[in-house]
Amino acid sequence: MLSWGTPWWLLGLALLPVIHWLHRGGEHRRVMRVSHLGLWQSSTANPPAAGRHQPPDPAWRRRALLALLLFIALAEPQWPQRHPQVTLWVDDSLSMLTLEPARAAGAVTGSTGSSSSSEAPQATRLLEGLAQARAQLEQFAHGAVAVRALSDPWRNLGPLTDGVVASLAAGAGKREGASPPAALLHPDKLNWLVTDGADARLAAWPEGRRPDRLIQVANITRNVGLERLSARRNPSDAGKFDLLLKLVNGGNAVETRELIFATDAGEVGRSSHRLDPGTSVFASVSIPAALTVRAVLQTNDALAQDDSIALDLAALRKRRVATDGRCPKSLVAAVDAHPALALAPQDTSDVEAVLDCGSNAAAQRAATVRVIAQRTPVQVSGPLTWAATVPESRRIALDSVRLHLAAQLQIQPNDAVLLAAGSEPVIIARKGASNLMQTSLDFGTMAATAGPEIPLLVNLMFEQLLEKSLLDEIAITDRGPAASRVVPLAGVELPAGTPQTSAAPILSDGMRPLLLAALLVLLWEIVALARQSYRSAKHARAGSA
Amino acid sequence: MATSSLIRAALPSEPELQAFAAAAAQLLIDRQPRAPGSRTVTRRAGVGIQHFDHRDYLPGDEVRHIDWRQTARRRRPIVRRFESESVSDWTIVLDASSSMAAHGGAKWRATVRMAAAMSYALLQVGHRVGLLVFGGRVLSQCPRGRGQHHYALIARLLATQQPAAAGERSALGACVRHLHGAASVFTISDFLADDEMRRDLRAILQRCMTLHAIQPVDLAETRLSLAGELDLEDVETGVRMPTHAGDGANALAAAERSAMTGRLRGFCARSGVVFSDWDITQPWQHTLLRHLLQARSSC
Repeated sequence: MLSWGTPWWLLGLALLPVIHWLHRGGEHRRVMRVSHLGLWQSSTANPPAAGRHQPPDPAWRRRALLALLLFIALAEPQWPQRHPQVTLWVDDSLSMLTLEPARAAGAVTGSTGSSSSSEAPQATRLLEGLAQARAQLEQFAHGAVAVRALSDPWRNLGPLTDGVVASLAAGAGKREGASPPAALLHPDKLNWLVTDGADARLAAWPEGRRPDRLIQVANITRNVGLERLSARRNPSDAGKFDLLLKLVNGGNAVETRELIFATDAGEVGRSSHRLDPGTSVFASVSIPAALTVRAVLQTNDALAQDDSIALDLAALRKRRVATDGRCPKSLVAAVDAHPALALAPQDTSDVEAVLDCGSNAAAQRAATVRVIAQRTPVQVSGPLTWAATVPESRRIALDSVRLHLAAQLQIQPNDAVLLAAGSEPVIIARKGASNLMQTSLDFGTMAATAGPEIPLLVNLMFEQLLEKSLLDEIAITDRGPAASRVVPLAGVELPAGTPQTSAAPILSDGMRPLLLAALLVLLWEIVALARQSYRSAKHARAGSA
Repeated sequence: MATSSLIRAALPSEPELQAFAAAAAQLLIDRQPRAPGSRTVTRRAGVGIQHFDHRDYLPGDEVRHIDWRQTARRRRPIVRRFESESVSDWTIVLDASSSMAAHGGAKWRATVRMAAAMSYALLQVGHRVGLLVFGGRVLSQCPRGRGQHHYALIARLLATQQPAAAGERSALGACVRHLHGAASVFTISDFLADDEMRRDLRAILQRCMTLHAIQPVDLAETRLSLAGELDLEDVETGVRMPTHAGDGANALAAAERSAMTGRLRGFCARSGVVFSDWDITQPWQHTLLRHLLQARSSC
């Protein structure tokens, strides 16, 4: 049934009789003044004295049509679509991989195999929800269906085919989802949502919009998952890593789980944890340095994907630095003592950085810190100035009295001076194919006076060289706070009284076609006026001739 | 629509006026056959007044001309009438309705030139001349007077007159009460009215001894410049009428114009009004002289 967005504009239709009245009496006709009307009585075409009204200007119909179209367009007519398009938003978060008792999963899994009802009694929430969606789409929507995942809403996956279902199942849980962008929530399309309701953010749609239909699959209410695993170097023992693991009870029952840490060398820790519903606990353990670590919960539950978590510890390993034998011992000792750096022989090839003190053998292999000594060390003159690119917190308080320079560095275009003494550069970051940092500091002289300058300068130069923070490095894997939640949150469901808009018609906006029609009528009117003007001018010329 | 500069008329030059006055002098000083006895005047002192007959008193007649003896005998007011002398009072009545301004105001310009020339000629032979300009009412008036200086007054008035482009009707009858004592009335009008102003002419005729009527005719008023369906608007009444303009309509209008002139001419002949129609493309001198000759022959 036709409805109106702003029906009060329809009051403007009352102007149509006014338009007709304004065109009465043939004002459209050309008028010519004469001395005495009685002279022309014999040639009267339509004598007013006879009581016959002249017909109104035919243009009134055109102008009335223009007004009619405009007022109707402004009233925003809307009528129901017979075959509305449906956008099926699919929540592909990790919780959607929770196994549920299969009901219609077999109808959609087809090619997915692993969830076929004939082979397993259970299917994931994702497959179950898509199965329900497919069934409802077959009953209701005869228009086009576009499937979009909440984790990648801008990608239109097309209709709900087996391939799309398999693609969604394969990609679920890999990325966190978000509510649909407002730009994709077309008012002339139905927006359905398949979700378990465990993440309220996915149902909080922009501009107060709500799904036209909510397909919610959430029968399982028990789950404990591993949300986050982080690791850092043990500050007192460089050969160990400290692990911190967050366990979350995403269900509505008290759960107890056995937690096991394992590396490539085998199990390195085990603990038992009891979690109340909706709470989380942290488990910490120190393990020997390894390349990877894995934490596993026992026993498994319906959402197996969050019962284990792995962490790549490669980021915590020490960087090997090839050291030149000509380097001062104090400098080599500072590299050796650095928790993130490890000394390597001068001719080693698989190093990440090189400390070059005059031997160019390894200069071009990797990022290089080159200590240049070309003259007798002299004490620096002028105030020490750090570059703006060096954060204030990382600047080292240096005593210029104890600093000596053994060379004079030449600045080239695009070089960055990290430290300068007066106008003389002290540490320069050279731009080139491989990172190169040069310094004219004489670390041998500096070593004569006890102080922290050399280790701090070594850390600063290698951090700038490798463009990483070498101290307090942390490796982390985080699944997000809602990854293990399987219980629907309040507010996700459609509120009571809200009609399931699958029954409510989706309305088409009739404003645009009406405005287009009004534009065409307006063009018609302009052309008619132009023709009338042309004809009048033509007659006037004929008359004057 | 004619602008005021177009409508405003240029008066004849002094040589034109003098030439015309010389030619018309003999026609203008001839003794008039009948004149109302109320205000005959003489140009020279000592010239007497000859009694002509009696008639009933009409409002506006001089009380001193009431013949009391006849009044007592007939038991109603009776005034004496006199034979006029060679000079008398003239009033020139000018139509300044909007129809005179139509089609560029050619009729008005021609009319003003004729009125000026007639005034000049009458003043030259010693007549007293007044001027009435009428539209829907009397628009302006110049009292009767004589002499060259009076022509200056009339000329100034004529030069400043201009008919309204639209909305000014023709009400010749409005002049009747202003014509008291005029021996001769010289009316210049297009007489474009439903009855060709015959009723107004008849009323004026009651107030004067001689009535002249000049009808300027502009051929443009029966020729439409546009063709096809259009509305005609009467410049005086504003009434509109649809018509199909073309050669046929023009011919019908010309015929109607001729018929109106014919009806007016017949009326004037029956009523003793000296009538002439004037194609304004013709020189006003010829028309006036022919008209005065016609007036003399009709006496």
